[in-house]
Amino acid sequence: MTPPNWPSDEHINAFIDNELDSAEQTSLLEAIEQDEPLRNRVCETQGLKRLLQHAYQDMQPTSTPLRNRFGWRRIYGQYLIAASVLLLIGGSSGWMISVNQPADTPPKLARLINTIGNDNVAQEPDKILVQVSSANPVRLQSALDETEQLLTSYDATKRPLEMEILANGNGINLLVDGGSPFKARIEKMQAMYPNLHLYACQQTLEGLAARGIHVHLLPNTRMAGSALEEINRRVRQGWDFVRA
Amino acid sequence: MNILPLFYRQNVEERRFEQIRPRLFRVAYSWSRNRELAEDLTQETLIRGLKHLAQLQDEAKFDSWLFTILHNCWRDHFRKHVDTDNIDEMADTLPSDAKTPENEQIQSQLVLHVRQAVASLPIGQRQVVTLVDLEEFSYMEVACILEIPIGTVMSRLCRARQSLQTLLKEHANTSARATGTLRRIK
Repeated sequence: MTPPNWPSDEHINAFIDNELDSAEQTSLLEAIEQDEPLRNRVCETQGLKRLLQHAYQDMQPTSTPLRNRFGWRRIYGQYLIAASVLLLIGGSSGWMISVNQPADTPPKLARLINTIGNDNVAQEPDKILVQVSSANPVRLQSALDETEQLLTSYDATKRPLEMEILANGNGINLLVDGGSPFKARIEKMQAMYPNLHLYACQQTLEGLAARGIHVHLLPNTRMAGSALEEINRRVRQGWDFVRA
Repeated sequence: MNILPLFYRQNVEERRFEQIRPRLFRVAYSWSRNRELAEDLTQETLIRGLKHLAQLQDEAKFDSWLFTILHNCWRDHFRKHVDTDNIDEMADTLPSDAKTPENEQIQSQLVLHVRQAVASLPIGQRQVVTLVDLEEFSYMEVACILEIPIGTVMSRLCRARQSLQTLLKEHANTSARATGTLRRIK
């Protein structure tokens, strides 16, 4: 039996914010279906949340990138010094080697650096997993912007990169065929970058199916058992993990 | 020693921090209602984050960790500039942002009113509602970021949303009355 003041405003907030467990969520969904004033309260709260997101979505900082600020230079100053010393040593070695070689022989140091670079490229691509768990279009847009920027940057500099976008929770909207506002863009990105892979959380889809919501995913979307498992697996394999 | 991965990683780290800058700024602005202060708080947060990155134990908590730093920067700012120990109970003393150049550019009156309504909330409620609604952090994450019990998060969120609904309804009624008056004049 439910208490007389159920559901409270706290309950409705928790429902809107996806903080209820599945049993509580189901009870509240059933109540919403039968109770119009309750349905209005839930809609009002949901609308308020969307309104807040809308009100701040265009707020952008104007500051210069971090790398140009003193703080960044201060922190990575030691790397800069180390790199300078290495360059100095490398430059001197190259000069000494070239002095003892016939003029038509390619500089050994340059060849060595190329070889190291290529070996590294072949064996150690950077790997980045981007998790999307929010349906907020601002965050989805930002996730795609950053993903594309990374892919373009690595592609332009011929550096290898493996990238995955993993959608779970409300973020599954990103990969829903017919529901994603970014379908065309994602398909274009996939065509351009074969090193970009899409994963959907199986657990999220099962949760939706249990509520009678069956979704079709964008082509070439793979399934991950659960977002948490996939993140753990990738992090153990040395992937960088970013939550959008 | 192969230094190339070190530089690749540095690049990735840099991008990670830059990626989160707009989100930190948005929340800092919603708390402070002052663009310059929000820029400073964001920058200070990123610098502190970079300095103490090694202290981050769980990569999955990168975002909430940075927002915790933002909260600390915000608290430090008040310790330096406001003669009070409890910012959660203080009255809103910062000037309204209604006449700043920033707001003059805002096309939508609704957006302006929502921002003003948020700005009128006590700072504790403002922090909770922006972290939950703008950043979609879980209640537990917000509790950790602000170092308050989860029950306090829920009660502040509840009061914040009730106040916002009241304020925005009042605004809607006022707008409707204003529109009616104009029609009569015509």
